[in-house]
Amino acid sequence: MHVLGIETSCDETAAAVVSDGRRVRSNVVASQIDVHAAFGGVVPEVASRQHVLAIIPIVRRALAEASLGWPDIGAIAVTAGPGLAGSLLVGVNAAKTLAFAFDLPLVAVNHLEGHVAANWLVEPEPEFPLVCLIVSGGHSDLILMTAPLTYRLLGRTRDDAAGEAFDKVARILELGYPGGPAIQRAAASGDPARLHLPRAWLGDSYDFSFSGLKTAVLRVVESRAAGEAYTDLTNADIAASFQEAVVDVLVTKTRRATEEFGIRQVLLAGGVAANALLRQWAKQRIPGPVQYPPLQYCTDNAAMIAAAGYFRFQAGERADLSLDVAPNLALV
Amino acid sequence: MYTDPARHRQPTARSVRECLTCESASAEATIGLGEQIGRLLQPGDIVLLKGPLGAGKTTFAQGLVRGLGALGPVTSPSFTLANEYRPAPGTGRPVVYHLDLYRISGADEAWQFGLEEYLDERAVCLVEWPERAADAFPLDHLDVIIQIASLTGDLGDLGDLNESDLVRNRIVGDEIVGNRRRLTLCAHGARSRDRLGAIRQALAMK
Repeated sequence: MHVLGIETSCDETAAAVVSDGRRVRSNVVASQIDVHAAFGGVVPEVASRQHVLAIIPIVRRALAEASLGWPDIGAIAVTAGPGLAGSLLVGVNAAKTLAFAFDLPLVAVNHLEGHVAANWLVEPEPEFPLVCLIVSGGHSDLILMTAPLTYRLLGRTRDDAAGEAFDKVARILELGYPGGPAIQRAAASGDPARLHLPRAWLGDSYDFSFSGLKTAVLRVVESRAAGEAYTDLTNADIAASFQEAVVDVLVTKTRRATEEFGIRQVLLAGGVAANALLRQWAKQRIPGPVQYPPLQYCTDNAAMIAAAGYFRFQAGERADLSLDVAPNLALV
Repeated sequence: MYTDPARHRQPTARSVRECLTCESASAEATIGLGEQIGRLLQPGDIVLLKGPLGAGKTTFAQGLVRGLGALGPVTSPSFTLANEYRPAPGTGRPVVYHLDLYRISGADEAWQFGLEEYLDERAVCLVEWPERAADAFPLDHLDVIIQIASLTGDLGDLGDLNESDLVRNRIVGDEIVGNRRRLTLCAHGARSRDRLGAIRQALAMK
């Protein structure tokens, strides 16, 4: 069955067609990064307006690139949350309208479940039980899955999300937006051993905390500017040390979860799963298979929404035309 | 009278403003202070949290929400702009909205985003980066200005606050110690002045 996925939760307008939840027929993303870079982050009102302009052409292109027409589509899946209310509304209203117009079943998808499902778009198929680390601009969740669509929250951030920390530290170091790629680029020429930044281990908890790390970077930059200390450190060194501190905590806690729960597989998901050091350390330091989606399925996209929507559809779930957005929707 | 420099700095509108200053030596103390203050907040209260990146606005908000008896987890609302925390069932405490306007520019955009829905008489509204939409809020609100005692001891323009007792943060080895913050609570309007009075009393009794 072909599912049309629609995703507008933040700053990407995306539509995709996926067959049986696993084979991507098309995956179209209109990125707003250039529009928002000037502001150093997503501007909600600008995002909503851009989504309105882009949504219909993007859906048309997704169908065209899949070489399919409306009669071939079996269901429409749309992100209902979490995300920016104004942005989510554009996708949900487009999906409801198209479902009504073409008399198609509608499925509401949690954006985070979409990120997890991105791992089903590649081979081999993940095996249960597994632990999935979802790290993005809005989330840092460590999830245990014993079966499809079954999620148990092991830990989550207590303050800033990992991706948010990347964005904020990139701002402190004046490296530009989005912060993830900017930090990774800067870190490549830096020496992480020249600065040790604190890690928030939080005892035995699987929770994360990145707010103190952000503040620590701020203090280092301030004392360097005042000529008090760290005057020989470059921005590249600080970026490298920051990146290591984040990845160290993410990988160490994920590895501990694999040992405690005797799991067969680790999945990385979300925009921060595109980070090369996270991928490398996860592969090197976690025993057993570690899988992550290719870059285009890590950042926000609609193929992952179509995949998750297919699994929900198979489980018998349907949304009706009263479907509303849920900006604070949680996975578990 | 006319030669008093402090008087020249103060616009006349500030004569209705009433302030209270607290200090905190750690993130835990900031949460504790927030919890004490949160217990005294009432439905319809608007608390504007001001301070630079890393000042501890979200940390203080975590304490406020705990004191208000709402259910967390309280995390940074930077991604969705607004978090909503429900009260524990049966407590009769208000819903708490926690906003982050960093990505908003101007009062118009704040209203388009739906700010008025969060300024609900039945709820308590906490706002980080309110400066991004300074004119969007009702006149009666409580400002919380969080200042970091920086490495150079420079706190910028402190107005009528005393700078001399600030303790500088130190760096020992690779670790940063000292998380001293100064929190200044300023009431604008009658309702907030009542609240500030209760806060002053509670903190003094401790």
